[in-house]
Amino acid sequence: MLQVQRLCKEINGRPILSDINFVIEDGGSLAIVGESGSGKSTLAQLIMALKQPTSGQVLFNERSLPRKGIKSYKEWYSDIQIVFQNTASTLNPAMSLYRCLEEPLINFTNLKRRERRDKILEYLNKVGLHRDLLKHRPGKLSGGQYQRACLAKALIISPKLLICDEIVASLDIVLQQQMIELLMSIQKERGLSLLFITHDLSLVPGLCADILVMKDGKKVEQFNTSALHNEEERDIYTITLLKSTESLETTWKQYATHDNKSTG
Amino acid sequence: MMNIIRVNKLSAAALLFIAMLLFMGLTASWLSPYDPFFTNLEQKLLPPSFSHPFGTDYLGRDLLSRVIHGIGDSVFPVFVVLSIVMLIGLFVGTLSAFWGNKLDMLLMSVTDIFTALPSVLLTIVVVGFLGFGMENVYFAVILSWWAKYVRLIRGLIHDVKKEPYIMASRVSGSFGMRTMIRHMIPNIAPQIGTILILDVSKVILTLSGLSFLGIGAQPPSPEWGVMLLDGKNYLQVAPWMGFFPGLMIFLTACSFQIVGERLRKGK
Repeated sequence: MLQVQRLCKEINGRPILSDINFVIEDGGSLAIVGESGSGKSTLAQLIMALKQPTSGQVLFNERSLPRKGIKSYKEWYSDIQIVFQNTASTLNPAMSLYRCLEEPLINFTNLKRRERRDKILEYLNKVGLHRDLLKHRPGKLSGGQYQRACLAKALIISPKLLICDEIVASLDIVLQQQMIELLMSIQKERGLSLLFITHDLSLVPGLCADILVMKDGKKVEQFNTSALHNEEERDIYTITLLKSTESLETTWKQYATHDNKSTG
Repeated sequence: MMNIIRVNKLSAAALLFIAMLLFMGLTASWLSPYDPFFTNLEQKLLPPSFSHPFGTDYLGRDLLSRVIHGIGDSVFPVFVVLSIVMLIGLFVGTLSAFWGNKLDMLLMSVTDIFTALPSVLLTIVVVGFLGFGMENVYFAVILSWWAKYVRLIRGLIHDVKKEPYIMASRVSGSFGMRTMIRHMIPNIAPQIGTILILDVSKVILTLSGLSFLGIGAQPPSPEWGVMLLDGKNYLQVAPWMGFFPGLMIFLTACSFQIVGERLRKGK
């Protein structure tokens, strides 16, 4: 169980995150939604102990964030893994994909070379990548392949919680759908806890049970995904976020209707 | 690298010259027609001919044999000197950039002092204290070059440290030296390699220059700088004595420079 309690982060005296609280139960899922600059990625980095919070705490199964000592960091990362934004080049460009995927297995497990190879092939298959790609450098992969490879790398050591930070933001709509379906199937199969960070509310239904909306580093509201369209209960900011995705759909529908009429 | 060389004939020629030079240097004992130290006063100052393609010097020694043996004294030490300089640079630069702060400030102040001193002057001062001889010259050259590599490697590591894959490697369980060896060094190696190749020609010129000034290799060594110094005294009666060692220094320095420049531009 992940508990985030009164988490605050300031950089040069400027608050980036203020008083963030939430809990993700074992096997639970939470989507963190907000516009760019709302502090979502900083929150992910704080949970991953890549930055230290100014105040507040993060607990995973009653264990607090590691502060020093490689052992405590390794224990934390063996339970929690992250897939970064796909605009970031998070795979070492000097390594082959095989070596990239092998790295967490070398660092977190005692598997032998052959066992590591089997594991890599298993996860490559799971995320739908062809084994021929293993000898290639990450630079040779397409956007969708790159993101799948990152997902395989994060899942290969069987973490208990997976954080996905805007992992579909720069993929086209078909690849977005494929990635979401992949995540849903893995989550169901493994009982994985999921923290899904996105700016696009339309991706959340079906993937996450709860939604936490953030704005300017503050929590706006948290609610069950089934209550997303209950406009009377929703905050005005959540409705704006929702409407912004719906307005695009409406424009397309109007355009399609107009097009049909003119051809008819 | 092969692609870069393939599209450029000059680079291919330079690379071929370097390969031949290294081969000749390694097989000098078999390739050279005469003993480079064998004196024969009856055959002194002979111009280039079939029996002596580069001619002979004032002691009747075969210049071709001396030039071939000179590769071992003029070119190979450069690799040793640069390897030592690079290892020092890698160790100190890494220490400074990766575990930095106060140590970084201290190390950078020391490197500032060394980079501010003119390298030839520093070399002459060091050799003045330690005495003539190639070992002292190598030491002096290392002393005047290490700071440049420390600063270069520190800068490269500072840049690469900010890359997202370094942050991601932490999540994959890489820390400290492991991150350095698996993630940082492989990503800065191409830049260091290019600078090293470019510097080979500079160190060749420095070492030959110091020998020419008489503070490096000493006679009867077939080092090219020493041969050039010998040739200077016979410039009017036997110009080939200075021409061939000079030509070899020129061609070797040019070849490494051309290959290095090509690699740099090819990125």
